[in-house]
Amino acid sequence: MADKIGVYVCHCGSNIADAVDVEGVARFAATLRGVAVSRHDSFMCSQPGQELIEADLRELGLTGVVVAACSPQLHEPTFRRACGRAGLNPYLMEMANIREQCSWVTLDPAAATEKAKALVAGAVHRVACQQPLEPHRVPIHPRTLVVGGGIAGIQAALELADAGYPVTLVEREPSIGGHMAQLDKTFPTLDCSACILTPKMMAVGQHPNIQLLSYSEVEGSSGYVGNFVVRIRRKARYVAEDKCTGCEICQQKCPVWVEDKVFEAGLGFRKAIYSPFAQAVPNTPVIDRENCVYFERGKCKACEIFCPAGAIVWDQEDEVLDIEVGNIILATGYRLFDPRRIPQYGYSRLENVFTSLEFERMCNAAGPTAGRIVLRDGMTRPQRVAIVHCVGSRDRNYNAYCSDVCCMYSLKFAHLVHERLPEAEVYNFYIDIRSSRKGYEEFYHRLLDEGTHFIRGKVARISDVPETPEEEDRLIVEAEDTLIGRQRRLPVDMVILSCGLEPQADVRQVARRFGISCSQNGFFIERHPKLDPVATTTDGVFIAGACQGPQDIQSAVAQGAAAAARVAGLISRGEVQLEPVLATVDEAACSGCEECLLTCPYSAIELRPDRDKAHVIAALCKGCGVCAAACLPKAISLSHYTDEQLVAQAKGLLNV
Amino acid sequence: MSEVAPVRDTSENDGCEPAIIGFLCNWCSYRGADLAGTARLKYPASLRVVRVPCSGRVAPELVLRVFQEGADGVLVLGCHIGECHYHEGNHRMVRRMQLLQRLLGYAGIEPERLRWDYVSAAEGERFARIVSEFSETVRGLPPIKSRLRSDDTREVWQASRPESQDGSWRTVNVADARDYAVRGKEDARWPALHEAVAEALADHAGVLALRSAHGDVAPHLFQSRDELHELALWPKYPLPAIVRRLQDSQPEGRLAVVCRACEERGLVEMAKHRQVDWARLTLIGLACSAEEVEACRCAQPAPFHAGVVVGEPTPGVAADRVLAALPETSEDRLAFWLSWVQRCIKCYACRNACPQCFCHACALEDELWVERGRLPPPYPVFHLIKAIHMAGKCVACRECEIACPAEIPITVLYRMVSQDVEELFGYHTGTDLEVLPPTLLKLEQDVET
Repeated sequence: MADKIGVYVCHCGSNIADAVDVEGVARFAATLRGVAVSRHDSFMCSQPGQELIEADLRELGLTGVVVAACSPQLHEPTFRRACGRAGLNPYLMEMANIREQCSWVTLDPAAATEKAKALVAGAVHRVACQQPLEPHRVPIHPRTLVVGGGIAGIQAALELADAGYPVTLVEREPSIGGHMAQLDKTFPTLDCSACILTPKMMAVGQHPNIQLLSYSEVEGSSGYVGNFVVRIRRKARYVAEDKCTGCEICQQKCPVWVEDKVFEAGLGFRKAIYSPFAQAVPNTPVIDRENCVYFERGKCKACEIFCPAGAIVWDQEDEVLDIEVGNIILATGYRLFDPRRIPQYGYSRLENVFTSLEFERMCNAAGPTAGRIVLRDGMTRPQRVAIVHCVGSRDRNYNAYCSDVCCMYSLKFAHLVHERLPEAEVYNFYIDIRSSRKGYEEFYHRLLDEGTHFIRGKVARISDVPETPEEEDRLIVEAEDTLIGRQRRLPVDMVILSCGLEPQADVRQVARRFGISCSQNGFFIERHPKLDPVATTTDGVFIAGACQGPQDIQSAVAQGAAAAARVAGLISRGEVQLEPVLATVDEAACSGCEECLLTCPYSAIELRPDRDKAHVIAALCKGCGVCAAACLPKAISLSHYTDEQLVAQAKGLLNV
Repeated sequence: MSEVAPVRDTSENDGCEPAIIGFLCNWCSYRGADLAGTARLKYPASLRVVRVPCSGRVAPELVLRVFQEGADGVLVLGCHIGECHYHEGNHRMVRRMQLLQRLLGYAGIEPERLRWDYVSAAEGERFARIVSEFSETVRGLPPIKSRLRSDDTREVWQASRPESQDGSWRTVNVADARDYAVRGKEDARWPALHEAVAEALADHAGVLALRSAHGDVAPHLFQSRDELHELALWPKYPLPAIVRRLQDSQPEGRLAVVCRACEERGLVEMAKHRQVDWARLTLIGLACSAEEVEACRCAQPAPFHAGVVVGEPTPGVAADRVLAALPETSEDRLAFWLSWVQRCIKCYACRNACPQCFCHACALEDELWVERGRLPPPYPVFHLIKAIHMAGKCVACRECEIACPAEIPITVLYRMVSQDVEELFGYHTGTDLEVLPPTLLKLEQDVET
């Protein structure tokens, strides 16, 4: 059958037409072999634009369609659907990307037009070789894996569980809660963080649809949307969860005090058997093997002796679970920037320089100082407090990005100091105050009214070397006050470093485990930054909260809920359509050399023992085409990316 | 292909924009390219993109074909190592492109015309920079169409043989290797060979060796002692291919085969690719004589796997003259090869004689890769597809070159590829049954790039 190809060139308003002679491209396309009709339209993606294609398909009986417009990442589904509606197999449509990869990136209109012609010719040649394909449908497993039990993960898990879908929530630490559980107040409303978080934590712990696996980590993931299998390691707690009543007697009796570097940010202590905080969910403690006297010396067992429930299990071992899930939501959160990387700020050398998380714990009534703001000695109240913004953020030496939350939590810190130490002076050193959301600017004005000093300047150094009697025994903050244009040395008693948010240390391994990408900063990349912020380029894997980028609690909650909504939408559909891009073997050409079998990353190729020929297991094939490239006699071909199609496209691209 | 007149003729105009084909991975680089567009970054219009699901989809044949079609440069972009959507497709891509790039260099096509790199979905700027740099590089090279234009075959064929001086740089001394005078009983190794074969006959269904008959030699499956007086040692004959056919036709029996070191290496590679059944095979090694080693300029003439070795192993001839013989510049190398390959009559003797060309279908016969009805066959696709297929397979038996009626020194390319496989991947072709084929090896660098 002779090719009857329709070519549709889009102006995209002026986005394409400004740089590319769209009409010229359409005229050129009409001269290409097999092209029956060539048109241009101001917006091909509009209803009339799509109807243009549909009408031609019905009236002219086209055998293929080329749409020269934006990136196929955006409108390929639109035009495939349009073709489908008019009876053409959607895989007989090919897009030429003349916007993102042509009109927007080329200065010279003549060169852009030539390139657009080449791209169209490539697509026309390619579409002539394309084959009709049917997407295959697979059922979706209703269970969802949520990785990370911070506020974003909690919200996502609750939304799905409340909608009636089963959820497995995996948390690395002994309790869910994440960073939010460590905070004292939340800006700008000054809600008690624990008071608004713990009801949600309880709801997770008690929800019949949520399987909570704390003190656990995901070790691997395989499969694809609708049908993932994840491997989860439940670390040994040495406490039987089904027996423990959470009475905490073990924690009282344990003789070993350990500095709590995680929950108390190094300010407080915990026991070797511990539950990180009073409202922990689950409230089953864990034994820290590293510090337990029994594990170290074989003696003690105080916890076991006093446990009324007999819940201590010394020979408990890590348990590895393989769980089937249909979708995955990653809410792995952030870690605080380590200010020791900025030696001139003196953190860890100057004892009264604190990190923001330390200060949070200090302000917390349940924290190590019972909410009293004191110096490192545990008793002296500071008279002058400096809060240094943008530590590790907005600084090309560390992280160029803005960490989003530091301005607001710094304002909150200033307020807390005013509230608890009315005599104290508070100095905020800032670059800009970023308070752009609901109620934030008002909060900033409240602080101005409370008498906080705002000094616009990036702190150069924090030292303890006095130059005047006033500076004796104090920390000196050096900065240029850019509003008055003067260098300042400000003696203070306490410095709080408002550290930025960074990706978790193992973020790249996690990304690799789930087949998604990280930006250069290390935050997970969303499918589209504006329009698809919680999806990733891997179907069935979603992201929520600070692992996607620095954000505050309400954004994390919104993203958690958004990710859950996306997943719920997929589950309720019941099945998912997969691209029919699969490898197939031409048995006559196959010599059974096994090269493909060894190269396949999914073990999707087996050797048929009766015939000594390679055979692709369709359910396992992901369509990467590595086998097709490895096969010397070219007995393997990858549908929709056949050698013939790629060579045809290249010929079209080159012979303009 | 298109019906319109070319708007740009690369052969005439040195100042014009080069034509670059980019194979971009759908998950990272293609999105990175889109991001460059969204950010309105500007880069040269010379790049034309082919979207592929994974950079590992890009077969070397595809790159060669695109050069043949007139691309001045080929850019292959994939995910960063450790971030491949398909786990390790980009490892495969890098392995293949490393080899292909070096091969292009030996073949007289500037290796700078091929570049591979990593661009993530977030790296629009990096994408634009790579394209600009690469365009700049390629712009500095002459258009490939003018380079690959070939002159009339017959004239070249009739012109004097383009061999430089004495041809001592060849990997094989064709004249000596083609000494077809049969050597049998008069050879010093004959009695020992006779004894070894006779012994093997006792517990094997047959012994494959050479038999002299009617003043010529042919491979023969010896099955009784009565025939053994006809055992021959020379001329060399590609026996491994016959082992494969014999084993196919006799799915049960156990065979012995008399093999030289190169044939032994060939059998190892064939066994790895499941073309011969190593478990049903006994090797009777035949150490090549000093004279034979010299004829083949063989570097490793001593059998390694055979339990019995007939004859005294002779030290190999160091074949370090090969690269020295290749001209220095790409231009001269291309001229060198063009002058040779224009003698090619596309008889496929090189392929047919090759024990490693066991495929049931051949890319060299596929119109998609090699244009039909054209003599000499198009350079570089025809000769370089064969050469890249030899990576990790060429066992330096020289059967191809001995068989070539045009005496094209094609093994020079294969030898260079084998050397690269050793250098880049530590792979010694034909020596170890257990090691995976070289292009399957993963890159050592991990995660952080």
